[in-house]
Amino acid sequence: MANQTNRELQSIYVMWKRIMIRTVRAKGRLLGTFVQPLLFMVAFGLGLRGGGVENLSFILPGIIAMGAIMSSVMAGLSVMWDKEFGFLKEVLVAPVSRLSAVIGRAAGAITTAVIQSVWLAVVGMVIGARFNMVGALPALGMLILTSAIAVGIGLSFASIISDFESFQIVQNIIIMPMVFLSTAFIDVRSAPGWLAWVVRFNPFSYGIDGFRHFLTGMGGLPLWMDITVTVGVSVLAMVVSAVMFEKIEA
Amino acid sequence: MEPIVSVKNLKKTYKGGIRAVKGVSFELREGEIFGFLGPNGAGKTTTIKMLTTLLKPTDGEARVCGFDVRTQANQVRECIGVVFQQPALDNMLTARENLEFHARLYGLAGDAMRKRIGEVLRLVDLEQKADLLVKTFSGGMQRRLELARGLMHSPRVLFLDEPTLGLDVQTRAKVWEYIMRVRKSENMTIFLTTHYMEEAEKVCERVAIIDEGMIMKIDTPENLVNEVCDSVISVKTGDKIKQIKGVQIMKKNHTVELGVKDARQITRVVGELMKNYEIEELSIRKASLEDVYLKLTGKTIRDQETKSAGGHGPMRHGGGRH
Repeated sequence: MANQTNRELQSIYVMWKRIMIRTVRAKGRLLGTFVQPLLFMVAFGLGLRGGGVENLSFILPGIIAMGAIMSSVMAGLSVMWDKEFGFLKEVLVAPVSRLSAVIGRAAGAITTAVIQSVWLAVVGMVIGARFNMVGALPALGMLILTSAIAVGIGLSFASIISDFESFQIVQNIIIMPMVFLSTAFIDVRSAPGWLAWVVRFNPFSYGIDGFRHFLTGMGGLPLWMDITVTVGVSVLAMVVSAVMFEKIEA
Repeated sequence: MEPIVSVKNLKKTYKGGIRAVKGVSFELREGEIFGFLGPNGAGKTTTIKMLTTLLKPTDGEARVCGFDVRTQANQVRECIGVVFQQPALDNMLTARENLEFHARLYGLAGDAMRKRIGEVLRLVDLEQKADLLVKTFSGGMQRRLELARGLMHSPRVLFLDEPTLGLDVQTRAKVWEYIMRVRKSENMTIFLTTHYMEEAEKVCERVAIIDEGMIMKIDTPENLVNEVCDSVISVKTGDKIKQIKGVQIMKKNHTVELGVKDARQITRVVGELMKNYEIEELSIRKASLEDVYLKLTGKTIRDQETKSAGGHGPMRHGGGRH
């Protein structure tokens, strides 16, 4: 029993480590992680700057969360690559639970997402956003759980999809709309009724709202609800993707 | 002694109705080296995938190390090592990092892990290259690294799916050398598939000849060959050769192949041939597994190759299916 637990922990660790090594070695990915979201920030943040510091502080957590979600979905893309290059089989024949395999990948993707988010937050503060430092830690927790949901979605689709194009399509027609129709860019308090409902049905909304709440105090949904829904959905996302992973046949 | 691998009437039908494996049964004794022989598309890779828990059987039973591949997948995974037909290494990692990844998946860490990594690297002569990225490795080096990785956790059964596929002749010989070395030092059971008959004949203690998803015969290479004939006389002639006593006509194209059961009959048969027919060319060789295959299936492996290269046989590229 202790043996099995040890093996699961070792597996999670080494899968995380592999993703870290690969991320650092792939120069293109580093660029994508650190530069691309900056461009988003310029486009959205400065473009919508009409409202001044208040508005910037509201919109920035949305942009940061978007960056985190997008880079977490990449965990799914890395599974697609592993399928393509045969490496996935190495993991599938190992005596390791699929949940550990999923958690290991999630840990890797989330670490990247967190580093990216901290970087964006710092840049944001330099250009004038005001963040509540006391709330930074719980905000990070919300961001990690939100990323876990995105990882779960990415991995689940990667389990059932066999070609890259389809994965890109999933990203474009499922993930992107989910990000745009969430609290990342829509304020539930001022949105028209139907739109507010769409936002409420979007599981990303709660994590992003909680994140913003802790960071800026500008939450639009009840905080207890943010936390409950996000914790619940992220656990569900991990379990579902582990189940889907179990079904992959190489 | 209980067999370490036992397979009963194992079947696999893919979605779309392709019956890749149509009910195979065999057993492996602990410590033996057993070969699955057949052309691309015969069902070799599909069988290996079922035995290594990558694919769920449609029907039948398979036990590895006493565990059911269907219901005790994790226990099976613990006791096997696999080298896949297609490379399954991470090219962005070094050889050592690939091995570390594998080691930890099997619960090996710390000094024990470092020591074992050193051992297996030495076994395949890759110590000098341990810290280079795998993408800089040649095909042969990658195969050796995969072999080393398959051994990392000292499995009881090692599965090798076409271990020499896509390598040039010298490299192939080298890889076999390593496989034999590994087997000697680790004393494990090896299950391998190949379509290189000569190679199988040299290394395997027993082989199963498989064609179109079914096992035609299982025995030692010697017995299989002896059962068919001792020697083969190939003759190039314009004449139509009729039955000769003690001879079996195995193939009739522009070259006729005559199987001779008993080596002592060769001079007599050659004499008869020279006397009765206009012979352009004649050569004599020892019979091989290739001839056994021809006898059992009515075709040569090479025929099969060209056929599947033409894009027929849906089973080609066994390992490329995901």
